[in-house]
Amino acid sequence: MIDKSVFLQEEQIKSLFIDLSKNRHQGLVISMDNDSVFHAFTEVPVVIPSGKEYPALFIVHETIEDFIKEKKKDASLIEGIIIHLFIVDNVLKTQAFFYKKDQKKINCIVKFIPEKSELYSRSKGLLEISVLENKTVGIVGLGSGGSPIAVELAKAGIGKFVLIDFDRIELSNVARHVCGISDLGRLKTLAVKDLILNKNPYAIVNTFEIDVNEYSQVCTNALSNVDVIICASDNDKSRFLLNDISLKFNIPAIFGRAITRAIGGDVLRVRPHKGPCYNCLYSQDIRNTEEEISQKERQAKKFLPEYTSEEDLNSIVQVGLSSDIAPITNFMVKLTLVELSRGINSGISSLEEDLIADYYIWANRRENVYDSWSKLEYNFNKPSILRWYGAKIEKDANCMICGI
Amino acid sequence: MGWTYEQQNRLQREVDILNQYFPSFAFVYIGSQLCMEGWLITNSKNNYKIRLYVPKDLPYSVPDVIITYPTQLKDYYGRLLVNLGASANMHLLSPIDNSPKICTYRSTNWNANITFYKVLMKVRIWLEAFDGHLKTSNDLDYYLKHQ
Repeated sequence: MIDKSVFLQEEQIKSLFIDLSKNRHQGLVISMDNDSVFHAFTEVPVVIPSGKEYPALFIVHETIEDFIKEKKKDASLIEGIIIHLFIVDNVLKTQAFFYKKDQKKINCIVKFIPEKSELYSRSKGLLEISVLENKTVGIVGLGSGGSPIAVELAKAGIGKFVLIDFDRIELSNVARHVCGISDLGRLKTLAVKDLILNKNPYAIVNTFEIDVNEYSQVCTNALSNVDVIICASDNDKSRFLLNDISLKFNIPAIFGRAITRAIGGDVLRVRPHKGPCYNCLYSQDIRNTEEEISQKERQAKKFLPEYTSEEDLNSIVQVGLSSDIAPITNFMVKLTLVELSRGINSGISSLEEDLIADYYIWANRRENVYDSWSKLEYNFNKPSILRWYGAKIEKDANCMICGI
Repeated sequence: MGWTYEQQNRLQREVDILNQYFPSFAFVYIGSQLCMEGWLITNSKNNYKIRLYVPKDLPYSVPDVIITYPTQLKDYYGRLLVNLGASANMHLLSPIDNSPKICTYRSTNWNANITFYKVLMKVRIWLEAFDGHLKTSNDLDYYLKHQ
């Protein structure tokens, strides 16, 4: 028979020992995988795992004798889990039983979900976790670009987020989005917040359900204190605003986009007043003028002339594969971590020397503007698909935004 | 909503440039909307009065531009331009304030380096093409590329 496991939040259990005047605590347990895995909580968690909910009873015993005595009476709970906690020789001991109607009680192995300090211990040395947990990243646009970035940054140990998007999860998003069918209809901000908290329950996530083009001042206020701005929106108008905020508050910004059918894309890093800004890019010939992909027809329509043909419109809302967008979002994550770790001795410090370019180009397929690129084959010394190319972009002395 | 410090500076720059190249253009308020209005004269000596609406998020949006004079502007076939609505062939967008709206830039090709001067230059070119249309019946597409 497979062992049944019950996972407990270490911090919650510790809190039960603070006040011993009360020894019984009601909580809840979520049963998953046919009652073989349980997650028990003393209070409703920020993100509730999917599964069947039962009551949980946490009993704190002062002595092992108390536990033995109590164990005999615990069948009063018809369905649910009872977790016994007691300390022997300064060591926390636990025993948990799952009860189900008309079935024998099942002994469960107790496992602890570690405290905040332990969560990302395996990244230590590679990333300076104690620094990253105090950093705030602002992400504008939580579609197929911004949502995986948010989750990756949470996995890397970023502790604070500002999420901005007005949109909701629709069926057409699901194939590319980190959220799934069970999130349909939800605000992208709140659905992504849950994913972040599922990776790091201690993260602080502030959300703003606004269209930044309409509520630019709210957006400005929300982002004025972040450490890096991620621009994952799908239109230039919002990017110009974010560029402005970046320059005004001296906050590095990472802009990324995928172009039509995600045949490729580009990433720009703006280090305010030290390199080109988003507007400087327009005075260079290098930027691809292909239409960028948009999640939805109605959004695409906003930014195209009213007489745009259905064919042209369709090519813009054909958003491409998630796997074609992933290299771009992944690169944005790397640039973000480099910016957040800049000047700090960490395992990724060497990347500062590699990633000196501010503008990067990626091609997924030899199509359209990338048509003339050589085949990947064995050509390591010619431009070809599935590789990043850093381009030297100078700050434009005549830029109407940062040049004045 | 008032203009930010950066927008005020930008507006001043726009005016400085227009004073040099299109001196007839000046600020006017249409209701609460700040606009710039002035006259453009084509090579055929036709006079057109142009109104440019200053975008509230200046300089991050394409300004709307309409022709306010001649009123009841008609094409070669005698059709009112406002009745053509959005027309790719004629480089027109849906009318505003019952006046034909000229398509100058796609918003996807817009950037903050584009000044009102550049927009009005494109309007000036549109007007030359329109005069050409009045003489030949060729659509404006014949003369102009979409940008």
